[in-house]
Amino acid sequence: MLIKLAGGKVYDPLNGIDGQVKDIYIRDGRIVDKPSKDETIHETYDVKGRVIMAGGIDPHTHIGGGKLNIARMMLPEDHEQDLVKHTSVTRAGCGHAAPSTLTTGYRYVEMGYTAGFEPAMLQANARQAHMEMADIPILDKGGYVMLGNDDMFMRLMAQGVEQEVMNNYVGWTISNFNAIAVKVVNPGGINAFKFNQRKLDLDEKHVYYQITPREVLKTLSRALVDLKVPHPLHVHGCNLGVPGNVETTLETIRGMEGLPLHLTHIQFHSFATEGDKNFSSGAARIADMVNQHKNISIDVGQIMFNQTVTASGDTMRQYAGHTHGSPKKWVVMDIECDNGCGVVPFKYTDKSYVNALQWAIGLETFLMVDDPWRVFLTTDHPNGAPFTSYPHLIRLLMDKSFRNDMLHTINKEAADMTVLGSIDREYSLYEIAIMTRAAPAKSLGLTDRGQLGVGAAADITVYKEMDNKEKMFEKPEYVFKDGELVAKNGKIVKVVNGTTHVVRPDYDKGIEKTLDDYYKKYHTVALDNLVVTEDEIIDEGRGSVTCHACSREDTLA
Amino acid sequence: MCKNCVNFISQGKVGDTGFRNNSETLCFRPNFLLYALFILTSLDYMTRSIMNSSSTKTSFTKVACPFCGIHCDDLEITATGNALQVKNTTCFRAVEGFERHLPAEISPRINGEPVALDKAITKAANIIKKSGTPLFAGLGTDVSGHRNILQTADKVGGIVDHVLSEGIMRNILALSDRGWITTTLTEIRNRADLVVFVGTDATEHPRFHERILWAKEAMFVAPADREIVYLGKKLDTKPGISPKGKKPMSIPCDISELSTIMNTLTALIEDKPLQAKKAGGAKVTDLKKLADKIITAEYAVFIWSPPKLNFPNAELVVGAVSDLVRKLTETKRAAGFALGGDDGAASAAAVCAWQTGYPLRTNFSQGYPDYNPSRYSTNEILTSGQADALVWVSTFTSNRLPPESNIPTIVIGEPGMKFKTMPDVFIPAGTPGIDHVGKIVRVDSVVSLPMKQLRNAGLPSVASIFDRIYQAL
Ligand code: SF4
Ligand SMILES: [Zn+2]
Repeated sequence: MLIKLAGGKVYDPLNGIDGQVKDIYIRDGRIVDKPSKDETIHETYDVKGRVIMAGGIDPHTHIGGGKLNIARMMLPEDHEQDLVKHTSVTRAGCGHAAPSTLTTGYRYVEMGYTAGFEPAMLQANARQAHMEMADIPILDKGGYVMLGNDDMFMRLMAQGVEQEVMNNYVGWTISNFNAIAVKVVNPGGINAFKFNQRKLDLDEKHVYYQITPREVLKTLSRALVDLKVPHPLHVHGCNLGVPGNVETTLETIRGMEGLPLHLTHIQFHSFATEGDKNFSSGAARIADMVNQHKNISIDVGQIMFNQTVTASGDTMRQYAGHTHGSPKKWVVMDIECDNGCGVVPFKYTDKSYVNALQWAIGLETFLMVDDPWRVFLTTDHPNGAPFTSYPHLIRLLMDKSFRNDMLHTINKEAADMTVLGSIDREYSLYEIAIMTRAAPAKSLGLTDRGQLGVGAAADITVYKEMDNKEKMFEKPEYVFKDGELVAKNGKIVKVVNGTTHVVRPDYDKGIEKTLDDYYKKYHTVALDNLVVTEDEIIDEGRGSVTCHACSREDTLA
Repeated sequence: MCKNCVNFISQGKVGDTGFRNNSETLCFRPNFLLYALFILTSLDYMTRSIMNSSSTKTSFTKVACPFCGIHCDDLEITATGNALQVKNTTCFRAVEGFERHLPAEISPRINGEPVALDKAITKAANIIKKSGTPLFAGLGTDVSGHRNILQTADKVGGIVDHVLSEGIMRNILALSDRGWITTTLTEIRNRADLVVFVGTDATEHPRFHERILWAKEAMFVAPADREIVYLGKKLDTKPGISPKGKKPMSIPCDISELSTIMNTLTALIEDKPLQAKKAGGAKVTDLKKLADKIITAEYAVFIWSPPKLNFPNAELVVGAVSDLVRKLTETKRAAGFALGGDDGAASAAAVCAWQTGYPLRTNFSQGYPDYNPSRYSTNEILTSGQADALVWVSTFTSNRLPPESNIPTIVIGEPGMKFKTMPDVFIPAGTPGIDHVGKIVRVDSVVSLPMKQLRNAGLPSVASIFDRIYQAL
């Protein structure tokens, strides 16, 4: 089957194409060269004047795993407002803050996204995370496995083992839980909370293991460099939500001494303490620091004014934050000498000084970081807002007058405290294509996604160009997944199964002996039963696994 | 290509496959090819062919047990033909489950008459098709089974409920009312220095004490020094005697008084003055002793068992435990832990929640998931006549029979089930972890375990049966 998309304006940053008119040909799920004249084209889509991009890629979205399922069970009232009927091609479900897996897949695809990555996959919960992701239709997915709070890791650190041993443990973990990257959340802090430590700053010692977050970060980042894992260490830093945490974040960047890091939902880590309320924006300083440090990438975790639910591994900070939550119900859980989770519903309002300023901090960050290749578009779904608010967020970035109109509606004191109104920058379509597909693909090592070059997977989104960018990005005209038309005018027309993206770094399998002994001694599950095998994901053909090469442009000096 | 995928293959961890190598650095593995080859090369296949011959003995280690919610995964089992023997534990539920007799006759039945599977599937599909609102209940199966049941219920506008939902809902109502602070089995094992059983003795999980409390080693406590406390009446406190012979503390009270007891403990911990000598039937001096233990403990764990809290408004007990733990957490660490999760209950609630947003008791008859924790209970549906067909699924035990009703009934269940009235259709199905591989979510709703196939008795999985029913609709 040969398909032609004729005459669209193509935005394909990985191939340096910025709005040029170009025909795209698709065969067997891949983008192919222009065929010879005598070949039959089975289907032609006239997309003259349309904007064409690769399918969107969300590099940080909580779509699979136990904490979201706790949120679902806790919030029946949230689902009630957004119940989704089945159709002849789709299943029933629910949307809004903690959507069902099925609806998650449909809605992402209807919005032109074709991949989403679960950033907080616990070893103890990895099987369930993969099972939930298997029930997310159409979308490609992948998981970042969590390290740096598990007692195995902490023990090895406390024993002062060689970096190489840590590398082997990290490599083993990525491979055996079918992950594509590694995330650390409040480095050492989730573990410290189990020992009743309530705060763990970058250089503060864990009461039991006597190691610091800085050491955890350096060890993990170094391990990923040594293992040549494409995505740098994905960091949810210390002190989330604490006024003044901008200092910690800046010191985290400085302290890495060139080691690569991805700092996630940085909005929650960019709080300064100026002004009467001891709460102000640190975004300018963060952006400045990010601009200077090419080893750093970020995503924002933009908040929107709405009811949502926060779900995080950071038990220490989620517990501290529960007093601000709404409605007043929340869960904190210690998990398996591995990690933890905290689920706290939040209602962000534009009348609240803090929330309004958080909104501005996020936008300031987007607009003050120069290089769109190092800032990804996220709301940390659902923590800042559900992913369905991306079109609105894109409009805020692309449309200065719209942004300023919104600015005038928020809490007055917060509006006075932000420089947002003085920022003229408007993102271009090319830059949006970078931050929503090309850059995440590059960062994760998905060499055949996030781009429209010959040989790439035919994950393609076709938008009608409109002045109102929110409308434009809400309901693309066509979405193709691996060459099949899956959504038309914002409605699913066909359901296919996406793949699970993984990497498998090289490591010394000798580490398994240490792990097996530890599991036998202390755990309630055998190591062999804890790991998730590839055939479980394939599951008689329901899923598939796509393994990407471990290679990276070494950013180390 | 990615050379490490080759490494993985040589370890036998994944199936061998051709690489579609249209990019130098990537390996693409088309799943159909991989799966086909996986079948051919996998260990599973080899064991299956060994299992087929009835005289050979096959041994399995690290077997996960499907028979109660804590899913111990350290079992050693031998299979001689279809007969299984548990080698390394005397847990009566495991022995009963694995070693139960497989009836000679396992063919499906329509009105009691043996028929081919195809026929039974067609008949079942017809009953479901004809009905307006079928009730899918029991739901004693694994994750894949739940998935396919939900797919079917969604399509035909049915209602889903689990046989143990009454207990599940006690938890869910407390969760959606105020939330909680909880923990998991490995944390308890390594961290708990005080364990308070609230109205339960955990004996429905026969190895709970052995595997979790009296484990040989733990990282942060000496297991044998743990303090154990029982709150409630008629509890078997013997398993709570430590390996060193230390007796547990026991405070007898009626289960209906447990929320009063928990609230009193909270008051004592807050140092509120109490006038009464007794609270909830217990002596306040005893409760004060317990409050002191709780205050000095580093990580007190409060364990309840939803199925045991069998009285009206029992979710208040769960709420009171939650309140106590939250109070403690203001200054120290403590956690709650709910037992239960038998009959695939944790999987049922988890899969239903991730696929629909709601944990069971969900009605699809309007095209979207409509959740009602009281109205859509099996009992309520059958007495109010909301359903016009019953599909009963139960594969872990032959004892869970469908409730009496006069609507057409399909049973997909353990082959040894003995019915008072023969259902319209009976399809004997395999048990996950015995007859087929599968995945089951553990009671803490965090860990899930892979179930092994131990024999090949020709019993289809619930998932495969529902897949075929779905195709036939
Ligand atoms: S305690 Fe439960 S899971 Fe463990 S062996 Fe006995 S029945 Fe099986
Ligand atoms: Zn996140």
